[in-house]
Amino acid sequence: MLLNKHGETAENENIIIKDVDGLTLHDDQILPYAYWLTQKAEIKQKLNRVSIWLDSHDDIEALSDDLSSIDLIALNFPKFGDGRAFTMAHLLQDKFGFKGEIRAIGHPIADQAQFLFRCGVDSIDIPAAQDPAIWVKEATRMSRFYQRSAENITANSKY
Amino acid sequence: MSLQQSIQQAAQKEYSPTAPAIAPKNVQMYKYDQFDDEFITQRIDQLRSQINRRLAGELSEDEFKPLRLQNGVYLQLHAYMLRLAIPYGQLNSTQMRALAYIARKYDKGFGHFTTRQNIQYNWPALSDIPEILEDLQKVEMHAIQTSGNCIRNTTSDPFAGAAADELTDPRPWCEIIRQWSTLHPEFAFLPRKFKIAVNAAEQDRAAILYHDVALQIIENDQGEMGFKVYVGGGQGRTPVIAKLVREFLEPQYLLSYLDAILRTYNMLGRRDNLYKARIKITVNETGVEEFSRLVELEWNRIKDTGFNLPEEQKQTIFKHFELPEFELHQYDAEKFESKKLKNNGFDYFVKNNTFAHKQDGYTIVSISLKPHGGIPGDISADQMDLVAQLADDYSLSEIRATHRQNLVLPHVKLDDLFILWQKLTKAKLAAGNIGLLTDIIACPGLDYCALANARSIPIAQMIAEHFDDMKKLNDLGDITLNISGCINACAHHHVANIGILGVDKKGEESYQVTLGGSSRSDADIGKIVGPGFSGDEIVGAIETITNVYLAGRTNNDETFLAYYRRAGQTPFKEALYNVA
Ligand code: HEM
Ligand code: SF4
Repeated sequence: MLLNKHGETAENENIIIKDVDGLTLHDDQILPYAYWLTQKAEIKQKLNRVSIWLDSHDDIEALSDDLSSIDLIALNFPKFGDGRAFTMAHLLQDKFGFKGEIRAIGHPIADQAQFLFRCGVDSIDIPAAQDPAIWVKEATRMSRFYQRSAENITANSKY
Repeated sequence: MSLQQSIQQAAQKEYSPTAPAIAPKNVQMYKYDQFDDEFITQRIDQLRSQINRRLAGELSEDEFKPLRLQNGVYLQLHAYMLRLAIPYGQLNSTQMRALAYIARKYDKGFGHFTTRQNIQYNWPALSDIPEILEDLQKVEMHAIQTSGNCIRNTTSDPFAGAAADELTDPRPWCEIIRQWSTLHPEFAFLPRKFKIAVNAAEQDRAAILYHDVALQIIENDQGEMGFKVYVGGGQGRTPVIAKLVREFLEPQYLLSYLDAILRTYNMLGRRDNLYKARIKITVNETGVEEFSRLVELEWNRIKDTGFNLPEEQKQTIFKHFELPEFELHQYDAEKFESKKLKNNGFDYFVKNNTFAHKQDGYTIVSISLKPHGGIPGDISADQMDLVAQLADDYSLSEIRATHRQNLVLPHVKLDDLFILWQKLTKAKLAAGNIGLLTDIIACPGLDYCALANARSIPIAQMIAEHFDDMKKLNDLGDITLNISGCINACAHHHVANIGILGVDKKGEESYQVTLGGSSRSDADIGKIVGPGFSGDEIVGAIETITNVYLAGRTNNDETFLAYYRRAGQTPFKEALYNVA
């Protein structure tokens, strides 16, 4: 189940690929970062829609030249306490001008949803075992903010 | 009894019937607007739902932990503990009465002021916590980010806005940082906790160089105000003095520069080892040149496009801190001097517990929470109510908490000092030992803390009992002594002139002594003097150390630290361990 910043849910059509052995490429796949780095040309050629996922220690700088050919970047939370994805989302959007979709995957918790959206994440892949209702509630929990959100938007923010 | 009734009653009971029921209006401090109030309401709702989910088993303790921590809820040896933020240590009298109310209703009648200008309650029930936070909201307080791997309460000079030796009032800048850091979406799950301190005075009374970011407000050659920025200080297992990363930061760039530091740390900080996750380690491992290069790179990217507080809104925040109207009055110096002559206790109190105010005829008064044999930092609900009343009567309703776990009345007329001292004496709050050997910082230690190796509070009490002669204490003069019950260094033993660290030696408590630390602008980390002492020996060892100093100093003006820096460890080693 996917969640957006308005607290709306949608079915998740994507498959996160961890093991690339014998892989047949497909538009719905979210491919590993390392695989993308080595197979860029083939992937670009075969797919209409390119999606890749990064782990929290992966170097997003190395992606900066390719961003225009990528449609979706998923940022993995190996555990919820690893907060690098917040900065990675910010940098992707604000520094590198990534225009595609940014998604959080792995093990975030519901209470991080709004923080993620405010850092520029577009969708969250709600972890399977969790109750989507809580995520829906938390997505719009606060309507008062001391900071501007991604893209410098001031809606409901104090400054 | 409701919070309002309690505050009203406390304010009227024994004292002036005109005392306000809720937030005094005249205090120069940040006052919530509607936005701030709504923000707190939403945040409390969120915590209530998290607590309910935890109680219903929908959140594991592991998942609940970072959430409760970001709201100041700790799990301790015996119970949950609640830590409330006192932003940069400032309180008004109504807030103090609310703290007393909470101590009575939800705790065992006590509160504990911490080394980070906060207050802790040791016995609240988890299910009561949303209610406590709602009471706090009524007096414009909260517990947000008093714990957890996020940006913590900003600390500052407890004499801010009053001290004669300050360049400017640092509090508006602290408030700007408070708001910027409150639920900052990008920096709520950092590698480790993050603490920012601001100082604008000549003396450093906030130990800023032991913070993750230290901001010293300075004036450049053109007479413009700005920040000298240090990064990577910290205590805990590995005490490190913060390193200079920028000589002069124009104030309008404060927030974008902080964003750049935090962003760099969030990406670089280690997440593989809890003990290596603080920014002090990041800076040491990356090298300060490289780290500041990365910060500057990021800052240059965002300084003009990222967020900096607009000037107009900055002015709005500054307005909250405009100086109060001081009464111009002629104080009677002769009468004052004769009171000192007649009263030893008052004489010591004036000497040690007051500090020069920027306004003639006024003084800054420190209230020691280290009474003879007491628990450092502890205060009873009745004492809190009394301090609130004294603040109303003698200090324009203002109170401060200090990082040495004491309280301050920042705006006291010299003419009122004697009667104030008398009232404090009655409440056992008049110990004239600020800055002296018995102004001890001690952590909870084995009495409350699951991580402790040794007792801290009882050692502090034993030392205070032993050194109970005010004449001798004054003769020893300016000395800091801090006691931690384990290597986590909650009591900052490394940075005390005399540090005591409890260690476990084959199942026995042992106390290791460090000498020569300082948390002021001449910051230094103490060095271990030799093998540890048992609980029975430690007081004797401190006596020996002070005797070495008294015998060796060139004159009374040479402080303990100055003597140590001149003489080194040798004379102490010789006396402590009988080595020739
Ligand atoms: C009884 C419960 C307590 C526990 C379990 C506890 C635990 C800890 C731990 C594990 C650290 C090390 C953190 C690190 O290195 O990153 C620490 C640091 C610290 N604690 Fe405590 N603590 C307790 C009570 C207190 C109290 C009552 C105070 C204040 C009087 C306090 C003040 C501090 C400070 C100031 C630090 C050092 C921060 C720094 O590294 O700069 N703690 N504590
Ligand atoms: S220093 Fe150690 S014993 Fe003392 S409170 Fe901190 S963790 Fe506990």
